[in-house]
Amino acid sequence: MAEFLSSPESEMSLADLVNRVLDRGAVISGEVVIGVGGVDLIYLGLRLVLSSAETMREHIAHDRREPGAP
Amino acid sequence: MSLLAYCIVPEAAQPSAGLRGVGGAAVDVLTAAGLALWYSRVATRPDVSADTLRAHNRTVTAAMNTEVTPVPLRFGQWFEDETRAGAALEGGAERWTTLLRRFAGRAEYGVRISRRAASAAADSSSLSPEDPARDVHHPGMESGTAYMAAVAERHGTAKRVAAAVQQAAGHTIAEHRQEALRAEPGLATLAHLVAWSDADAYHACMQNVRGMYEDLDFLFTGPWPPYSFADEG
Repeated sequence: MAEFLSSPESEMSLADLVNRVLDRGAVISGEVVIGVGGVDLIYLGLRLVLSSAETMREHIAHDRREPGAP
Repeated sequence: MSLLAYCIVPEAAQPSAGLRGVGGAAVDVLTAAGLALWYSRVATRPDVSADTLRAHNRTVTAAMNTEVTPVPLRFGQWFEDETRAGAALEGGAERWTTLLRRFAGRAEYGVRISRRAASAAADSSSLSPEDPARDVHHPGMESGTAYMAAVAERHGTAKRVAAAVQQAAGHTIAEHRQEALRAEPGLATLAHLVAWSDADAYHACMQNVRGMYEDLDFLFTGPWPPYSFADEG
């Protein structure tokens, strides 16, 4: 399969990864439940959890600082 | 143990034995109506993080080959047991089959278009102090008029660039989506569904488009599972 310029795994593509995996893709179960900071959120699209975006950024930053940390 | 779902593929498509999903969990298969749901058994719901999102995407991507393109599922979909998962798979069989046919032999590519920082700054500094558009790039100083002018300008630029992309590469693009980016310096993201057989020609067209705009940055990504085309049909 032909690779393009920036792999979906690269740091540069993290925004695209978040946008696709959280906001797009098919919904099979009627609702999507994700956890952010240990709190379950039900959402139908990324726009509805924008108020939690800061929490998510902090969570991702935390993961980067401490790989494997809970 | 709950079932965390990743993607839907034709029944014959099986994950490799060593494939691991979110949290390192093994990837299992549930079949119904000629379809297969790839999932992992997990005791607790993993939080959203760069690692879990990457693991989800890696698992879905592992189902991609030149003949099969999975229906990628949005992250975070759970079933309490196989019975409920099988019912969901079977209940939507017509929809899943239609999407699998549409995606076969194709992959998604992404284009993120943004203005170069120097260009954005120059746009602002070249304006007279009285021009309300001068405040566009200084958050907190915008007037309503300047804000609306900036929105209109960004929208117009994104529309023109998207049209140029379509003109240059439309013959290699099976389907496309466009979404505006709300924050500077971003302008828009484009998603293209491209046949593997057209991928090289598509890449060449995108490089040509990049050369047409010295004041814009283009970030090309892919191939992706077709997330941007899976929430319909």
